[in-house]
Amino acid sequence: MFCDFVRRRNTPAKSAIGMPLAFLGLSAIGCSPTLVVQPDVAKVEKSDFVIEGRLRYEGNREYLPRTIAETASGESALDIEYSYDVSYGARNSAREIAALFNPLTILGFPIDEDSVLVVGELKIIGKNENTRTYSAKSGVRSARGLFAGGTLSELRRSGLIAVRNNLEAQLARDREALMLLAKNH
Amino acid sequence: MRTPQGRFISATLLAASLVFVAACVSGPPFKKVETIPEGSALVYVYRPDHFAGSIVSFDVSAGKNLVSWIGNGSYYPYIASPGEIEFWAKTESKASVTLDVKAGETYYVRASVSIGAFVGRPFLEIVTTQVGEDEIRECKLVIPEKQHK
Repeated sequence: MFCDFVRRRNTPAKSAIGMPLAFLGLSAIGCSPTLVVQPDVAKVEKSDFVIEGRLRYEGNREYLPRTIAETASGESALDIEYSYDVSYGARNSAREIAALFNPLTILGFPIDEDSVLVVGELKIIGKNENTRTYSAKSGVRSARGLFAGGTLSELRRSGLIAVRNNLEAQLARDREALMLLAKNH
Repeated sequence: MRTPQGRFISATLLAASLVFVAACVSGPPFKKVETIPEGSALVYVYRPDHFAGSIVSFDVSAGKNLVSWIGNGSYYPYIASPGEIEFWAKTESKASVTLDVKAGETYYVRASVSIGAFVGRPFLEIVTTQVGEDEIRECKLVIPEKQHK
């Protein structure tokens, strides 16, 4: 019966169901978050390279590059500092008010947009204050509609994970210099 | 002579007014928390007084802990332990924002109501100290019956 319905030429019933479904589908796609990360480095899937040092970081370990490991304090250890800053885009109330008068809103048309900017900085400090600094930036944007849209917490986490992955790639690319730094310490 | 339509409109307006009054807060005006317990941080969760969405209210939670009911024009000073905390609220959908809380610091989380399909959706955002201090002055403390302790 369903196959017959699909095979039949365009009927009013088909349009009444198909068009809204198409709109919902398109709006769901439109509401998917977009993520941009800088600098542009190839992602490293898995790295066996780990740099150890005294870690100065108080946040969630999930956001720390996995190529960093904490070692017991001692004179031979490098110092590793990691910090990040999260900022949010301003909410546009005028757009939300305008959405009240847009009939497409009920079909899932975006009402507003949420955005998060994450900046992470990693410092590896060796002997004689010889320091290598790595930074990464990620911007996450997600349209919000009546039926779709993530939370700011989800966007924040996406941005922090993207920064983490980017820093891992930068560290893997700079492996030789870091090993030299660790050796000279 | 009052018509049936007139009586219906009056009844509707009366019902709407009662709901509006019920959603309002009648606690004491804003008073700054002078001392933050050692090792803790202060998070003001507040909602400026706006007409749009005023009859919608919701509970705000911090992780698994219920913070407070938040109505239009209300605030609640939440004493938080340091660490990553997700503040969230839910009506027909969930809204959340995550804070990295550090001991001794003060934060402002602004709650508001956004357009929803059936009822308004909550929206939570972190605002700067300057914005928070400006806006929270007009808010009133959530009445004790609505606080979750």
